[in-house]
Amino acid sequence: MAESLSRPAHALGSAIAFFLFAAAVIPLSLLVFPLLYLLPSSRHTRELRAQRIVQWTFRCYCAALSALRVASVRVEGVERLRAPGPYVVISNHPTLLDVVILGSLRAQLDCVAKRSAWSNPFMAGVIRATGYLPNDAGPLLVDACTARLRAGRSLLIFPEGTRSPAGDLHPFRRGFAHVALRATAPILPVCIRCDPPALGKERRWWQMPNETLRYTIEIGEAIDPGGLVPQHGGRGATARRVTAALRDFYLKKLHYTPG
Amino acid sequence: MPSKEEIYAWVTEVLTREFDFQGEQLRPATHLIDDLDLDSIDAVDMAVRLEEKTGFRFEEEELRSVETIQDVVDLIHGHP
Repeated sequence: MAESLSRPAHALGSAIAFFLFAAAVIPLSLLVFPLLYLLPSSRHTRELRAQRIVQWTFRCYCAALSALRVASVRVEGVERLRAPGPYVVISNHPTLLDVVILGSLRAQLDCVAKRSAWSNPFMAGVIRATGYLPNDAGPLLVDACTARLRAGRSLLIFPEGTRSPAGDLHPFRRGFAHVALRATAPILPVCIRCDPPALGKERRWWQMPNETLRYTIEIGEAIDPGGLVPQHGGRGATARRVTAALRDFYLKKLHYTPG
Repeated sequence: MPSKEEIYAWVTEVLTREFDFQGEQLRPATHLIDDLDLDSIDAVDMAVRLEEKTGFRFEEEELRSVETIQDVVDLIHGHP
């Protein structure tokens, strides 16, 4: 049983996992992605290549997490995430590994990331090469995301804008709804559960529980945002209704009480 | 030059039509962010609708400085 690892063995596994992440990301930023820029290609092609490399890296990383018994991942409905799209993929965000797990499941995935990641030396190279988008751009971000969807590229957005609080959800920002409505793109709702809770905002990333983290990734049916709610009023009103409907959807799925 | 009352009517009409707010939610002192939860996307949409209506062009700086419905009315009214 994975759970029966001794405490020191488990702590060592976690430590190796964190080290591996740095060991994987630093060479990507410093070596692999700079080389990508040397290949003659359009920006679009280069970004898709970089995203493939990211998927491959994340896959290896998830395999390592599983081998070290740090985390095991069970995915339901993965074929929905592998369909061509383009989709606005949304998810709750309980842990630090959410991006890594979701990124390992789909070759092309544009991410909306925190602006601070652009100044993080580990992340900056990855983020620039993949063409990820910073989350502080407001109306400009909506335009940029809509353009990506129209070019056939799927996007990953965490509507809470940050990691979820333990056993609850932050208010949802409405950008994802605006984007899906403008591009008439379906929303693919992903529900992430991590048992026992770990890697959240409440504790530091090294304060790991002494057992394997069991992740369940549930990929729901695609939702047409235009058909989800009544369409009267302006698009601001519609975006509010879509956002509220999806937050309720997540609260029910996760068995949280609405409030 | 339209009166402040006329401009106020335009602003509340835009907020009602665009965001589905009801009459009692909209007062001169209503705070756009705290009370109506307008975000930056909504603010731009509101500005575009008001521009169509009044011919007044909002500068980005001005849009950031308004807090209440009355601020929007005063901004449009005070403009030459």
